[in-house]
Amino acid sequence: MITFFAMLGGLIVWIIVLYNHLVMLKNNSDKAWSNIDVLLKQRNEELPKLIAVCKEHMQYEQETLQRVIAARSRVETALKAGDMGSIGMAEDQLRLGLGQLFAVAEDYPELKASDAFLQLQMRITTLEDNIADRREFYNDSANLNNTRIEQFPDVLIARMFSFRRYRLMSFTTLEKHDVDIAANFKH
Amino acid sequence: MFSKQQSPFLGWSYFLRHQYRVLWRKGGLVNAMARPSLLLTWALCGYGLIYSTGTVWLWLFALLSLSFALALYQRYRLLVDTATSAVSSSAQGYVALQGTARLPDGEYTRGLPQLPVTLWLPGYIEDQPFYLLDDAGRCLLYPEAADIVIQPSNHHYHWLQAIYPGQTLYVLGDMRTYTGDNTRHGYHYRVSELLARWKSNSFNLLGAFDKNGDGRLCAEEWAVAVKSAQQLAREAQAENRYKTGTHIIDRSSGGRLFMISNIPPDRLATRYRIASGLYSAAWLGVLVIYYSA
Repeated sequence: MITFFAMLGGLIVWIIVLYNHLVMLKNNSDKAWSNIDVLLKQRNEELPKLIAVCKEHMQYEQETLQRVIAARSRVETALKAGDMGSIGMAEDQLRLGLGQLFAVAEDYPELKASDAFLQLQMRITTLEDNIADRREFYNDSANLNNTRIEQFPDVLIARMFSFRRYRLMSFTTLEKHDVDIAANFKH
Repeated sequence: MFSKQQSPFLGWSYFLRHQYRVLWRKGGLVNAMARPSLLLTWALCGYGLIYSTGTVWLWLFALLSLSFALALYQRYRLLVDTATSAVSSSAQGYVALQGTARLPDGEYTRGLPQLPVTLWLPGYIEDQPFYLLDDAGRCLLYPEAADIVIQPSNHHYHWLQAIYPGQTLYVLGDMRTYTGDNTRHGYHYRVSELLARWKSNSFNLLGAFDKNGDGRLCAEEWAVAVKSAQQLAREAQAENRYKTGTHIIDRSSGGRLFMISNIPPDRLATRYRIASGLYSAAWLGVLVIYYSA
């Protein structure tokens, strides 16, 4: 009888350890996402300033500017909805738009000489780099969580307490390819 | 340089005593129990207890075995389930980092004169920070509260337990980044500082905000001054946001492990996993023996 209770006690403690560990994985993924979220918001705050500076000099590039504005708005909507799939797609569009914007800016020497533009360009590029790094970290954290909750014996606890999978922020083909500079200059 | 105001030329006995004790004192009991020599000792203790003593000691042995098994299993899971972050990404929170150890800027030597440069040396240099560098960033490590899990390396002396510059380290802990935003120079501090500075020069303050020219600031004029200070503080804060901050790891929250190790994480994880399995077997073994007796 004592042996039975000792084994039961050991088993219960082990289940508690597994449960706590799944909670830690969940919190790690949430924290990794909030790390990206804060940068996306900062970047989105900077974009209207960039558009305003560009508008002064790029009267003939309304289409490019509109594309960036529309993509930014899609990112904001997706962020509010918390839909990872939409965020990924909207982010791709925004990056594409920004790439084109910075490429056509080369045709406007006054804009290129503007301190405000250069400062904003540098800030946005730095933020984009950090977002890329943190996205990798988020994907790693989410992947660890997703793997764990499908493995035995964690899967039993995960199902019992409804631990959920985290969607990865996917890299699309657009980002994996080298940037086609020539295409960016076709207008 | 020396943590306990010791002479750099202390005797060998003091030095060796710290080298020997470092495993227990800084690596922690759980880490020490994962070493093969202690595992073997533990197994022999169990064997001796089964054949020579009473039930109470056997139950104590079983209970301790279970505790070690669970603690080691937790460490194993922490190592394999914590994502490794790039230092440059400055991901805030509990992270794993891997990089190269370096001396802080402007410091060229550290440690005992008769030894190579060491960043961390048990009994001598235990609380001084050093850098961890990766491809694009660096993080300041404060080892005082950390579990230091090290093995002698072939950098210099093959027997010396220490951390050298240039060694690859693995770190688990809470990363925080200090920028102008989250230091004491926050928004409200900036506003008060600006207003205090303006107040100290009443001539300039009146020149800028005394619109009706009556020689003093009325409530409305003061409100404009406050608004101006707030605007300037916001601008300064926005500027600071983009300055590269200092990344620091000096602790971990929620009772999680803060560890600095020069052992590759996969090897360390395997060590903990095997040790956890063996302690679990010891626990089960005692239960089976007790049941069948």
